[in-house]
Amino acid sequence: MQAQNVVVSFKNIQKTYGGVKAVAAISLDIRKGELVCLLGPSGCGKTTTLRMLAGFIDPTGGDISIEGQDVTKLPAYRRDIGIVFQNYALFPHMTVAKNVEYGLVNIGMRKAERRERIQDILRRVELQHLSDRYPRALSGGQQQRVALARALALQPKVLLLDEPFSNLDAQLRVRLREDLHGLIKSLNMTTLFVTHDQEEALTLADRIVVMNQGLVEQIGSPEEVYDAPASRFVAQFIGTCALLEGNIDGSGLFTSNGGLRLPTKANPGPATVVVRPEFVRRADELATLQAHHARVEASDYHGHVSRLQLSIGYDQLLMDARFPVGMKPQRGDTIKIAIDPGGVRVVPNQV
Amino acid sequence: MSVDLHDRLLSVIGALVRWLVYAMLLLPAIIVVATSLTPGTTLTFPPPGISLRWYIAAWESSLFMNALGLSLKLAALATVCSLVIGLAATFALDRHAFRGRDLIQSFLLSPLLIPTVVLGLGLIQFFVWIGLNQTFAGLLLGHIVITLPYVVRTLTASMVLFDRNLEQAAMSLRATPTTVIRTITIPLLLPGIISAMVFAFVTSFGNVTLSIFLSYEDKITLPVHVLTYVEQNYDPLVAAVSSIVIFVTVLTIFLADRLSGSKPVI
Ligand SMILES: Nc1ncnc2c1ncn2[C@@H]1O[C@H](COP(=O)(O)OP(=O)(O)O)[C@@H](O)[C@H]1O
Ligand SMILES: [Mg+2]
Repeated sequence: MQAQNVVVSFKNIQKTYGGVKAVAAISLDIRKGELVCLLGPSGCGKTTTLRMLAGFIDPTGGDISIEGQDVTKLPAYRRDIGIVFQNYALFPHMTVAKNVEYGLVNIGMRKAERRERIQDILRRVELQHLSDRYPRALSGGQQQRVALARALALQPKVLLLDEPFSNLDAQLRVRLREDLHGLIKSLNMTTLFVTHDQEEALTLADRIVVMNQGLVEQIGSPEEVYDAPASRFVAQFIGTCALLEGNIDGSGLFTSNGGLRLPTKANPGPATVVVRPEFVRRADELATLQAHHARVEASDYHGHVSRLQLSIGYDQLLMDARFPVGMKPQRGDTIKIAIDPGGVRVVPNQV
Repeated sequence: MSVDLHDRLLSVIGALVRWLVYAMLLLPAIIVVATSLTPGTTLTFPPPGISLRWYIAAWESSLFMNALGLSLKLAALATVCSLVIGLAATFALDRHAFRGRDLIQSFLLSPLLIPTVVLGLGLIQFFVWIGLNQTFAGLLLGHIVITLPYVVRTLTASMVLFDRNLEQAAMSLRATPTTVIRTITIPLLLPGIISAMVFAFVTSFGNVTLSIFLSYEDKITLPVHVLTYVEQNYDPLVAAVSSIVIFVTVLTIFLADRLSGSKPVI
């Protein structure tokens, strides 16, 4: 692993609470300007990991370094980190400007320079007109941007975000997500971001760390974790999919326990195969491929597509497809489908 | 229609009961203040006229004025001491999980549950034993014992509502622990601190039972003086002195309310 450009480095970080492993063992390098996302279900240890980097929680084992300096024993106020909390944690007795100024005073910056810095950062988050407001007089989205401005004002080496969108409504979430992404990238800010929302992770992250029960399941780009999940857990947690159990023979042909055959390029042996719903198509769209007769078990309309639950013999599949008006298959119908081999992924079988 | 009437009736009864309770609470104080304004020489309500002669008499009575001075000094010192001890104790109880935490918490609150007479009796024997009997230190110590539970209770309540993320946010913004306490923790706990002080001050200033046990010679508190005075005399002087006690109490609460800003103290 190349040492240059690594800003944050976790080496075998662990945290146990009275014998219970909140974080079992995490090793991770974050490079300069990279936006890394910790993604996993609630309780998998994301917040604990983030707080260990911030210096609020002492790891039970392992080391953390920032720009090559070991910070494992360094108190939070000497770590050069900016953090945005899930509830924003704005100081309620200070105005927006005072909140942003707080850190600048602590590092002894002069007044004129402080004022300039506050102006600049508030302009970037489009809040300069609210600088004299108190936090309780702000909307959730505005509070989030103040928290961000406050953290960024000190130009920290790393920015930490703990589920920063979870308290916002869906529409605002998408817009603020884009704004945040633009801001972080324009500042070339090294960022560690925590979420349980896979869509958020896929759209924002340069790299995703998929966590489960205190362990890393996979580290990779959004495309990698989606297209080539390293485990059943990753396949199911990110996007939706059908999982088929079966065997692969010497020629790479996968035969499911239910009898469905799919070509792969994997080594022989017992295997689990992931089939994403967008790779299951109508047979007339993929006329060159073998067609299967599938029974429609359920059908949900999602607007842009319909999601069908299909059964082929004993195997269950999901399918996302568009049908002409009035042609949508109903429960109990039999349709002809083909499976795009480009969307069939073999997941390594864990012992 | 009938439901409407029902609601109307209930709300009227509710309002009546509420005002009755207020009246019951306030009436004694109003009567005392009213009788203290009498120009005559007997306690009568309503007073036949209005004069400040008994206030002037109280002002000129060195006995009562000394006692007032002592009571104010005692209440102020007891407030400051129990606040310092109470802050340290509640911080420890709130922030650290340690063995015997619940025990210490109950111990700090226990003077609320023990009858003050029993407490006084116990303290006086204890003070005789350690040589603090009939000293100002003993009197002060006794008052700290009864004010501390109020301080601990009030501070614990406001600390439970305190968001620890705020301190961590401050720390991530390069604030050292002392800066965090000075700029975040204390300012945000201030309403709680002020109301704890009010409770402590008012409790100490108005206390009779414990002070009877611990007062001596010239160190006799104002409420105790009022009590012993009433046993022998029945003139409006005592009403004037009692009114002064009421004014001091109300003034304390009013000032505290002002100090803590928009949030009500009590
Ligand atoms: N202070 C604590 N004491 C005991 N267990 C804790 C503590 N903090 C977190 N945990 C446990 O550690 C696990 C990971 O928690 P957390 O990091 O908050 O998960 P996430 O942020 O991924 O939802 C959870 O099972 C949680 O119950
Ligand atoms: Mg969390």
